[in-house]
Amino acid sequence: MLKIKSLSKSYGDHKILSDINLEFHQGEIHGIVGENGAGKTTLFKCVAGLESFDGQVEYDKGILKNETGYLPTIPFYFSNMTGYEYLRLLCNARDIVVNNLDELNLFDLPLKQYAETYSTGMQKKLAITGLLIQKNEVFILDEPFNGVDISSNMMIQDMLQQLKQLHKTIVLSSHIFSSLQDSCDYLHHLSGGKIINSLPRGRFQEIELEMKKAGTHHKIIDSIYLG
Amino acid sequence: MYPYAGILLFFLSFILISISFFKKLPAPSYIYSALALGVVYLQSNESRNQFLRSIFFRKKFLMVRLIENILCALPFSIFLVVRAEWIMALVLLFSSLLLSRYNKSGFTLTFYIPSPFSKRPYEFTTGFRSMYWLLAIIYCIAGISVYYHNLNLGFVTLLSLYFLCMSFYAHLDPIFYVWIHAKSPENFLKEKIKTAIFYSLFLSLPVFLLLILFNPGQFYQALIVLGVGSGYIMLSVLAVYVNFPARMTISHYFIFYFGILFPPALLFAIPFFYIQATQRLKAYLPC
Repeated sequence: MLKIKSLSKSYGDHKILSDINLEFHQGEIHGIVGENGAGKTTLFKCVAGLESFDGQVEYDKGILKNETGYLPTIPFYFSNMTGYEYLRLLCNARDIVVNNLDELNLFDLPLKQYAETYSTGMQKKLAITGLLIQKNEVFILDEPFNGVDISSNMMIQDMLQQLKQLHKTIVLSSHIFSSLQDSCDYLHHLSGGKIINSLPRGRFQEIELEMKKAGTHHKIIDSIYLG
Repeated sequence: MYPYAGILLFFLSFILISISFFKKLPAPSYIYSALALGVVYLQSNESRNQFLRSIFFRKKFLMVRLIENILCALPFSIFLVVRAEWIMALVLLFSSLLLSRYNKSGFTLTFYIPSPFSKRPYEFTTGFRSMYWLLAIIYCIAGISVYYHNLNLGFVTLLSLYFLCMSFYAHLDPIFYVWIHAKSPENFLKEKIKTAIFYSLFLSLPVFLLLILFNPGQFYQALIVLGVGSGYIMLSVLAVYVNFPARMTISHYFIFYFGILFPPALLFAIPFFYIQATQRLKAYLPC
């Protein structure tokens, strides 16, 4: 089980996250929703151990970082590094021996090409492949559906369900509400750096309604175009 | 104060290196100008030019590129003028002007350059692919040094191979690429250092063998150069993490350059950097 206790994060005087308390169990898929700037990425980075924070993140199966796969919103690749080499780097980092990476190329990526030259979706798929090869127990996925094509999107959804069956812990975020509805067992609404609502499957519509704002944008667009 | 001290240190190092360059090398003005053009050429980097193109109209973009190239070439040209190498200074400036019109296009490579370092990515793998042309030049100069029986030039090329390898570690590692390792800071650093020493030896061994084959009496001197080079590469690896995730502080830079200019200081600088780097990495590699 992964337990977040009173997690807070500030950059100077600017508070990003405030008193976050969440529990993620094995074999569950949790979704975090929120507007841009709500603090989803910061929360993910804190849980993964990529950012310092106040509070506690408890994990009952060892060192969390060593069993966690983190998918950034935009994966970063070095210039002149091929897909093969990226995957090999991830394997070396965890002392995992893989003899034939081609067999694990589940998205049929051109692994001999430089990863930097991949499209956004391909870069995301390469990062996801890397997380799977590392045999992680916990998956923290920031916008896994962003930029990928429809068939890959469905494949990722299916993959998440398979990982769930294998009792992995999965936390993800997405701006595509339907993707979250299809995948998640629980949804948590993050707003202004706080979790304002956590609901199980079947009650996700409540969060969707919360997120629908009054149409102030109509007024602004009218003022731009109509004066 | 720090940026000004950095700029001052940079110019002092530039002048010192330039002076030693002209003292040590045969036909230094040619090699110096080629080196300067290499620095100017770096400004035609594809991604930064794409960015500049996206924010400036064509005329302004070309003007910016022109100013950049002249600013890069100017210190080298001034030094050439001081050395009374008027023609080379003019050629360098004119070539820089021409190079400002050359901007790498945004085509994507569908092939890749094979790298002997693919087994253990990434510094040497990526560094080799971006600098293989310089490596070829260094090997050629090593050949020239043997042909003209210029052992000093041979030693300089051997050391310059290590400087080339050090440049592979000149960037700051993104936190993610450290975080992914399931290793203690000590093991992480030891593995990085081991890889760096092994791969740099792999690149420098041909030059080393060439030198001792034609100058067997200078075996120990060549071995010392190899040892100093290995010390440099160790220091460069540790320098990436000595103030991680930030860049080195001014005091770190001072120790770093002191170690480079006065190699016996490496015996102090390497353990000092190692201890500091392990401390800094503990936050990201809690084993």
